Amino acid sequence: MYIAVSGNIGAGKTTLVEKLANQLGWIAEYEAVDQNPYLIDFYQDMRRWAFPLQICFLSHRFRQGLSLTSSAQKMVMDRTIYEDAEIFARNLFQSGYLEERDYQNYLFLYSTMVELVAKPVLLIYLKGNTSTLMQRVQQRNFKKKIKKKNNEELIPFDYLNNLNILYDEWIRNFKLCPVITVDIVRTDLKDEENFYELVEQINLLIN
Amino acid sequence: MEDFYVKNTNEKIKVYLKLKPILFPDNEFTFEGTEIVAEEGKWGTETYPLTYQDLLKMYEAGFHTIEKDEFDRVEAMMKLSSDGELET
Repeated sequence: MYIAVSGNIGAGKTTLVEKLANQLGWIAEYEAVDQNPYLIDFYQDMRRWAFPLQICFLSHRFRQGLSLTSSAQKMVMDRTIYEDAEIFARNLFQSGYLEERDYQNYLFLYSTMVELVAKPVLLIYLKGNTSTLMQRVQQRNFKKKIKKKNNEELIPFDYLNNLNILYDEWIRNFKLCPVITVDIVRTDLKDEENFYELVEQINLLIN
Repeated sequence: MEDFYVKNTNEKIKVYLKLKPILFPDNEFTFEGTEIVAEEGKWGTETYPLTYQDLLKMYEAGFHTIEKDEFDRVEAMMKLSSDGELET
């Protein structure tokens, strides 16, 4: 069984996954794709390659989902197959990079795959307004200083906002398992009290 | 594999990148990126290597493909700008 942690870029998913996995004694499970062979082609011609790119992301997520299904271990997962489809693929469609028929084809495949993948026992949704997410992404980059201009600090407000709208819509309609929504503006999970309160809530829901 | 060109812009900053594949990479860096940044009326440029993970982050951050012509125009504008403050 697994708990999923979902949320937009900069919401703090990875940090929470790590903390929860440590606290619960579960395994932290991160991104499914090591190499997507379409990524470079995608940058050369997004309309041409958006569909195979998304199919490749989806198939890796599916494989990861199947391994979760068959695993006896308890895991905390950073992002889900649902977000691949409902947020990122949908955003490409809405931005005009995925054709209608390709998107429908993708959704058909996704809906078939998702039936075969174990549902999370609980989903934790880290909800933040776009300004807070922007701030967090910028802080994160300041801390990283990998190079002078890290890509994430360039995320346009409108782009992040569009993803946020898709996230809110998705979570409103999400019925596959119980959802704990954490408002990251009001609740700082770095605060131990808030974190242990969340852990208590989790334990109540999964036990 | 050919060079390719992407950009990402917000209200304050415009970033253009030319990505040149490194033919025989000897570490995780597989592209050489030439970046042009326009920020608050000033120009900057620098070159740095990128990894596959960097490309994934760019995907998530909404970078999108542009034609070579657009990058070339921006590069020419930067060179012509008398106020340009170039970082090399």
